[in-house]
Amino acid sequence: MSFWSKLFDPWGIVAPAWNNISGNTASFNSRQAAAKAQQTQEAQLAQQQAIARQQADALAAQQQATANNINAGRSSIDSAFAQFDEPYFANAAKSYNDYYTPQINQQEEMARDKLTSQLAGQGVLDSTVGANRMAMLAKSAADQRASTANSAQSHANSLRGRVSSSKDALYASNQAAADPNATAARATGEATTLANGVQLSPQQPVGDLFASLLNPVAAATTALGNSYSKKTHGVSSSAPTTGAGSSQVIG
Amino acid sequence: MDPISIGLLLASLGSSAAGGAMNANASAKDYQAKLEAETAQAQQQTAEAAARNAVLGQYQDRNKGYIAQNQGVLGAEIGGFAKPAQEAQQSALTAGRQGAIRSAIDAGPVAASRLRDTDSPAVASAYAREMQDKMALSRSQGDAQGALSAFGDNWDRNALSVAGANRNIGTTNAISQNDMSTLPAAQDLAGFQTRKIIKQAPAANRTAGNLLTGLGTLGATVAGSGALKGASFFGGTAPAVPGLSLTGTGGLY
Repeated sequence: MSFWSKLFDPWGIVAPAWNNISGNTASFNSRQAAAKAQQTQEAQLAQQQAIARQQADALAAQQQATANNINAGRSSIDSAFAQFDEPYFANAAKSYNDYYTPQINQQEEMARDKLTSQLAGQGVLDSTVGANRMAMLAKSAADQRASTANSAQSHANSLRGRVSSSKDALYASNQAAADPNATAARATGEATTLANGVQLSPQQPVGDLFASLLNPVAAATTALGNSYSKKTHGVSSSAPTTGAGSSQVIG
Repeated sequence: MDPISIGLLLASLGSSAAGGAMNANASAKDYQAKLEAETAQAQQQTAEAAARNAVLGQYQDRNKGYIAQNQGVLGAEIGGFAKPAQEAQQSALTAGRQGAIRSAIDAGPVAASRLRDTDSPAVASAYAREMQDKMALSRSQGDAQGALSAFGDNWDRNALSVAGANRNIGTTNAISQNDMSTLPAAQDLAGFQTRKIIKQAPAANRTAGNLLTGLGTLGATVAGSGALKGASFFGGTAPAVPGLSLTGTGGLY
């Protein structure tokens, strides 16, 4: 209490009364309550902002972790599929060739023996006709090997497409899952399936490749045989009896 | 009008003037408090907008990196379709196909034909010529087949290359989209960091002003009513001021 207050209001009655009348007391109380409420609100806000900072940090960490996971998943896919390189596809083409070409070669050998026999039966083996037929057989076999080699390249290309499709699917899964461990496991499984399960050499053997070439010769040989047979039985025939002179294979 | 009434009237006027001044001062304080609160709110909104924009800027910078990465992949992919690149690829693939086919043609078993060992030079010559012609024809057909198939190879390779670029771009986009999906939350959280409690000042106290104004009005009413005429505060009748009357005749009016 100040000096003037003691002097003019020694019992402390006037000032409180005036404060009550004028509303100073209510105003003071209101300010005190407002200050207290503000302190409480500021404390709550500080607490909420601390939580918000933690959430922001967690959000950034989660975002970075997702990016890292996607990149790690991509690396694991690329790593698993690194085995499917050019040598792999070259080997796939070679495997295709290795399956079919020996069959062609074997059929060519057999066809040559058969053709030799047929031409000899007609007495035209050692002739230009025989040379022509043998060369045609060699060309036909070469064409078959060429076709097989061409198909082998296409086969390798189809494998490239399958590998690419598998990678597409795994990349899509990786982007959705962002789980590098699961992606690595799937990529390894997918790559193993491709490496082991793909039918490098289709189990479809080649058919009779040279029938079209040999059949006319066989028909001619049969006709020639019949001609000899008829002559033996006294039936007139214009067929040559000695095999000498020029001959012509109909076919 | 008696001096007491005049005195009361003057006091009432003073009281009303003081009360009015106090209320005017209270209104000014209220207005000032209102302006301060609005200013603080505007400053907070500005700070929040700045914080949100800062986060947006960070995301945009990261996105620029993603865009640059994808542009690089796309540029390289498009570059692969330039005419010289396509011609080089086509040429290499044609050579590869034709090489494989020629190797296969020439890898046939040695023809163990009796004709090779014939005693007839004419037949041997005919055989050699036929073989040469037929194999030359086979190689020629093989080259044509290789050249034709190489077009398919070229577009197979192009498709695989595009698929690879799509995979890489898609992966970067996935990262970018994941990043962008967190933007609203990150902005909200950053904006929230700028929040402050804006102090709401209580309305200025008008009790004293209203009281004084009320007293002034009451005093003026009493003084003007003549209720105090003839009243004595000191034991005698209050002297009248000659020629001054607010209610009677011959006064000021």
